[in-house]
Amino acid sequence: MTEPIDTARNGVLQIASPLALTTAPSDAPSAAGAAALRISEARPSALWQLAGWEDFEAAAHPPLAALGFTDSGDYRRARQSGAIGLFRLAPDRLWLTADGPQADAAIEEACAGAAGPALAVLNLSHSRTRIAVEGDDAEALLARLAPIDFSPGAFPIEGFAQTGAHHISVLIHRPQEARFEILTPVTWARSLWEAICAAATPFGYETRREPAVKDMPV
Amino acid sequence: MSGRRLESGGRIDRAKPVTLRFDGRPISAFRGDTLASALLAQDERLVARSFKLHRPRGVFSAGAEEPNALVHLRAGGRHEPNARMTQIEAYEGLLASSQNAWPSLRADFGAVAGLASPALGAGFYYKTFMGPLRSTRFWMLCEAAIRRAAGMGRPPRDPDPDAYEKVNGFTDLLVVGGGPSGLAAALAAARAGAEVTLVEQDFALGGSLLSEPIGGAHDALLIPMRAELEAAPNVRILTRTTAFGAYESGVFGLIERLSDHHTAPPPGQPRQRYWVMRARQAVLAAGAIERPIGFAGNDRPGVMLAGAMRAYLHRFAVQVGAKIVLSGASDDLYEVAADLAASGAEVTLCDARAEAPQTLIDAMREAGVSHRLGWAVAKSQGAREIEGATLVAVDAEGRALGPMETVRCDAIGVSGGWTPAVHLWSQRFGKPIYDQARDAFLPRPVGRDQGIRAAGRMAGAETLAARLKSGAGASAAAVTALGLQPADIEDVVDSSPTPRFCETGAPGRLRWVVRTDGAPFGKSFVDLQHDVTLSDVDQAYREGYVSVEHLKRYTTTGMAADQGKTANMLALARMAWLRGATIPEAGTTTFRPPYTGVAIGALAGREVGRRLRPVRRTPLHDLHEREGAEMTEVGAWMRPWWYRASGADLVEAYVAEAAHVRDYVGMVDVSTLGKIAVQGPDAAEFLNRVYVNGWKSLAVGRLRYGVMLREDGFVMDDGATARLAEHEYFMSTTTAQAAKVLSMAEHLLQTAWADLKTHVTSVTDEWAAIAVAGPNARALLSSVCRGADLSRDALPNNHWTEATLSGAPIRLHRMSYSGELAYEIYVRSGYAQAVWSALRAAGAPFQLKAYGTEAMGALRIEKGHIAGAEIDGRTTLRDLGLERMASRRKPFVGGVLKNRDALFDPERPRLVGLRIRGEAGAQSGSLVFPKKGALEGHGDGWVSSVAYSKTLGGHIALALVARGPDRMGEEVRVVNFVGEQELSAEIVSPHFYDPDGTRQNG
Repeated sequence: MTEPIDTARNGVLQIASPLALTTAPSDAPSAAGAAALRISEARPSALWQLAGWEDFEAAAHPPLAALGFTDSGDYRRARQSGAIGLFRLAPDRLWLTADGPQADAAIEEACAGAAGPALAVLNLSHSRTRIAVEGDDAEALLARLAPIDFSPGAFPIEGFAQTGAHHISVLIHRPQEARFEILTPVTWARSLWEAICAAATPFGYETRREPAVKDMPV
Repeated sequence: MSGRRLESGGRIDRAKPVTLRFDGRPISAFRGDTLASALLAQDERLVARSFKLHRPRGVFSAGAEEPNALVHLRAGGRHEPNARMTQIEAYEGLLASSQNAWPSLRADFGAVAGLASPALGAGFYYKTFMGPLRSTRFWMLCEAAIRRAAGMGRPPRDPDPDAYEKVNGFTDLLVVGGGPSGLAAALAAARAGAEVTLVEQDFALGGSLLSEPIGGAHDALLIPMRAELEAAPNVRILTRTTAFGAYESGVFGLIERLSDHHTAPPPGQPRQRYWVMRARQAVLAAGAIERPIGFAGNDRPGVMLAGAMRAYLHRFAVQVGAKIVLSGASDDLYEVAADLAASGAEVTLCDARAEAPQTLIDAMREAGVSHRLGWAVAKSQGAREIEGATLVAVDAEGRALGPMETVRCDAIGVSGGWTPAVHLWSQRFGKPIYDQARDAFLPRPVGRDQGIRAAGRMAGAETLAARLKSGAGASAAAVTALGLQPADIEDVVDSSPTPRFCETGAPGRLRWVVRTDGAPFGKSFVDLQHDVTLSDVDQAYREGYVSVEHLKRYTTTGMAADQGKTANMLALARMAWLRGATIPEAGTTTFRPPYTGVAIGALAGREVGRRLRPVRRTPLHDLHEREGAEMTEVGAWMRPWWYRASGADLVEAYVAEAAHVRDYVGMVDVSTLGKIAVQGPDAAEFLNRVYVNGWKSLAVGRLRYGVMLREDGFVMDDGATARLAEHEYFMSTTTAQAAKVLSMAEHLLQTAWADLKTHVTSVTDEWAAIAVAGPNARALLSSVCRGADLSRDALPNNHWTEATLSGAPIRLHRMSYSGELAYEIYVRSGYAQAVWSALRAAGAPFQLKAYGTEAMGALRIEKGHIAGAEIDGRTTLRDLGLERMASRRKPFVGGVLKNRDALFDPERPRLVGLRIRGEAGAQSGSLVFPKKGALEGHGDGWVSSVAYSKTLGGHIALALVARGPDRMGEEVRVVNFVGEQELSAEIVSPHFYDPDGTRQNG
C-alpha cells in the first residue's frame, strides 16, 4: 500500500523524500520474534560543500569559526558544533550538515559571506538523504553493506568514511555507539534502503519515520 | 555384512538418532555422523558411479578430498550436485541420491562405457571426434552427446528459495584449520590478546585429533584447548567454514555453511555466508591429505585411505570391514592396523618396505595383525565391492618381484604418504617446492614477510608435538608482527600424548604396484574423480605430453571438482618416473581458488533478482508511475518510456506524444542528464580545455552548447553549460556519459591541470530537470512562473533566468532539444514533484501532456540532434557535421589527435538523414548499401536512430554513411540481415524539421 505523495503540507512547500513510499512504519521481526534494528530516514535539513585550493584551510577558517568549529576537521572523524556536523572529505573539500532551521540559517549566512575566488560554496541540501540504522546489531549490519571495519576500535563514535554500499557512493557516520547514519544520493536512496532492509532481515528490523528534524542551538 | 557400527565409542550423539534417505531408502544415523559414515555403518559400499566410465565407487576418504562419493543433495530449488558425502552432516530428513547412474546405482546403463574403456584413453575424444573431418561443427555435435553421457551430476533447475549473504570481516589473525597446529596457533594468539578468527571446514574443531580414540590422551589435549578458545572473548570460531581463496593484502574468501545441516534455513536466515575476511596476519594450518596407491582396481568400493578407516573407527564408531588388508610403506599404517584389529577386524598389513622397526613388528604380533614386510596389494578382487586382495612382493619402486597371492577381504586401506594441503599458500605465492626428505611439496618461503605463515603438517611437521610447536611458533611470529607480546602455550605442547607407536613420521614412498617392466597390472587409477589411470599418464608420455601442464590438459587429471587433491602427486610422480627425472624437474601445477566448490549464490549474496544492481530513480519517479508511465531502464536509471494515456502501445503512444508536442506543449522528465557544478576562478579556462568550442566570452545569464572529445580525438559527449556567476558554471552532460565526464574532469584537475583553481562536483542529485516544449510552452510557463519575464526579447534562446514556480525557486534555461520553442526547468530535487504537479494543474488550457523518452527521441531525430547512438565512441566532429564548432585559437582535449589523416578519410561514414520508402520503418543497426550491387560486407554505413514522424508523414532515420553529405538525394538500400528486411531510402539532410530554427527561436 502506498501513501499519497504530499508535496505541500499546510500550504508550506515540503522537500519530498525519495523514500516516501518505502519508509512507512513496519516490522520485520527476526525468527526470534524481536526486531533488533531500527531503520529510518533522518534527512539533514541542509548540506553545504566548501571547497578551495592550496589555501583552503585559511579560506575556510572564517565561516567555520563563525559556526563554532576550531579547525577544519580530519578525514576519519566528524566534528560537531551544536546541530552542525563537519566532514572533511579531502584536503580541499568539506561538507557541513545541519539539523534544524537555526543551523540551516547559520550555515547559509556563514557560507554566503565566505564565497569568493578562494572558496567555492555549494548548496547540496537536496542531493542527499540520510538513512539511520540503530540497534545493538547495527555494526553487524553495516559489515554486510560496506568493506569497512566498523568495530569501535577502528570506527569510533564520530568516525566516518566515504565508501560504497550496494555499489552506491555513500558517507557513513557513527554518531552514537549503536547508531550509524548513511548519507546517500537521493536518486539511489530507495535501492540502498531496500538493500539495507534485505541485509537486516536475519536480525529483524522495524522501519519508522524519525520525528521532524530537531532544531538545536548552534 | 562387513561394515558395521560399533556398540560404543565414537563422537556421535547416540541419544539423537536421525533418519536419512539415500536413493529413497531410509538410513539410520546419529547426529554427529556424516552421510558417508551413516552409509558405511550400514555396509552401503556402492554409493556412486564414476564420471567417465561409470565404474562403481565407494567412499574413499573422510574429508574434503573425497573424489568418489559425490551425490545429489536435497530436492527442488535446494538441489545441489556433487556434494561430498564425507562432509554432509546427518540430520533428520536429509535427502540424497546417487548421480551419474541410470536407472539405478546398481544397474547403471552407463556402465557399458566400461566395456569400451580400453579405447577410452587419454585424448580419445580429440582424436576420434576432432580429427576425422577436421570440423568444429562435427566436434560440437559429438560433444553434446558426450556431455550427456558423462558429466558430474545434474544442475539445479528450479530457483533457489534460500538467501545468502556477504559479510566483510576484519581480524588481527586468521587461523585456517582447526587441527592441532591451528588450535595451538589460535590459542597462543588469543592468550597474547590478538583478535583471532579460527576457521575450520568441519563441523567440529580438532582435525586429526577427532580420529583418535574418544576419552583418551588426545582428548585430554583437545578438550581444554577448545574450551579455552570458545570462552575467549577475542576469538571468533567459524566452524563449517571453508577458506577457499587467498588473495593480495591479507584478503581471504571464506564460505560459512550456516544452514546446510538443516532441511531448510530458519525463516529469514541465510543458508550460507560469504566472508571477505581481511586479516592483518594469517596462519595457514590446513593439514595434509593422504595419498592413494596405484594398483589394479584401486577404485573398487571398499578401497579407502587408511587414515579415513581410522577416522571412521574412532570418530563415527564405524568399522569399515571385517577383513581388512592395509597396504603402504609407512609407520602410520601400524597404528591403523592395531586400532582396526582392536575393534575386532581381521587385519593383514602389507608394508612395502624391506624393513620396519622391530617395535612395530612386535606390536602387530601382539595385536593379532598378519604382517608382511616387502609386500603390497597388486590388485583388488570383486565386482561392485571388494571380495579379496591380490598381494605381491615388491621392490622399493613398487615392481612385482614374485608370484602373487590372493587373500579374502572386504576392505583395503591404502596409504601412499601424505600431501601437505598447500593450496591457499600456493594461490597466494605460486608453486610450492619439493622437499626430498618428506617426499612432499611444501610452501615456498617468501622473502619479505607477507603476513602469512604455514604451520603443522602443511608446513612439514609430522609428529603431534611438532605440529603443536609449529602452530605456536607461527602464531608467535604473527603476534610479534602485530606488535603484541607472544604468549606461552608450553602447557599445551607439553601435554601432547606420547606416541603409542614410533610416529617417526617417516614418509611412505609406495606410489604404485606394477609389473616388473613398470606397466600396470590393470586399471590403476591416478585421478579417481576424472577416471584417469596410470596408463593414461603413460600414453601422454608416449605422445609427447611430458610437461605437467600438458599432462594435466591431455589427460584431464586434476581438473575435476576435487582439483586433484588425491591425484596430483601420483600423476606427476609417474611422469617424473617415465621421464627419468626427479619430481622437482617434472614440476607441478599451481593452485587457484576455490579450494572446494563454492555456490554461486553465496558469492552473489543478496544481490540477486531485483537487487542484482542498484536502480536509480529520478525525483519524479513516483509521479510517473502514478500517471501511468511505462518505465524503461536507461543504464541504471528508470525513465518514463511512454504514457499509457497516449496510446495502446509504445508506437501508438510515442507517435501521438511527439505530434502533440509539435502542436501544443509537452513536458518530459530530463533529470537523468548529468549535472556538474564547475566552480573556481579558472572555471572558464577549464571549460575552454575540455570543450572544443570557446567559453571565455560566455556572459553570466547565458548558456552554450558544447562538445567534448576524448584524448584520441573522437567525440565523447555533448551538452549545454550555463554561466551562473563569475566563477560558477552549471554543466550538463548526456545521461549515459555523466559519470565518465566527471571522472575525466576530476582526473585532469588532479593531475595534468592541478594548477587550475577549479572544482567540479556532481549535482545530478541536487537538481531535477523538466523540459517543457511546444508552441504553447511560453504561455504555459508565463502563467505559472513568478518573478521572470519569459518574452522572446527578455529571454531569447540560450539564456537562462531565475523564477519561482508554485513557491519553489527554479532556473529556466531557454534551450531546445526537440526543435520546438522549449525550456528546461531546473529545480532542486526535493521540490520537483511540486513543480511537476503545478505544471499539470495549470496545463489543461494549454493542452499540456507528459511525454516519454521514446517521443523525446523521435523529436530529436526529426530535428537532427545527435545522441548516444551517434556519439558511440567511433565518430569524430567531422563525422557528425560539427567540425566548425572546434576552435582554432585554443588547445582542448583531443584537439591534436582529431587531426589525424585517417580521420579525414573521405570514405568515413558521416551523419545523414534517411527518408524510408514504404510503410515499414528501419531498424537501428541496419546496414546501408548502394541501390545496386551485391549485399556483401558491411556496406557504406549503418542506421543509428529511427523513428516514425507523424509531422513528416513517414519513417525517418539518422545514419552514418560513407561520403554521406555528398550523396544527398541518392537512393540506397537499408538492410537488416538479422531481421531479413530490405528497404529503400533517400539520403537527405539530418535536419528534417525546421532546419532554420524558426520555431525554437520563436
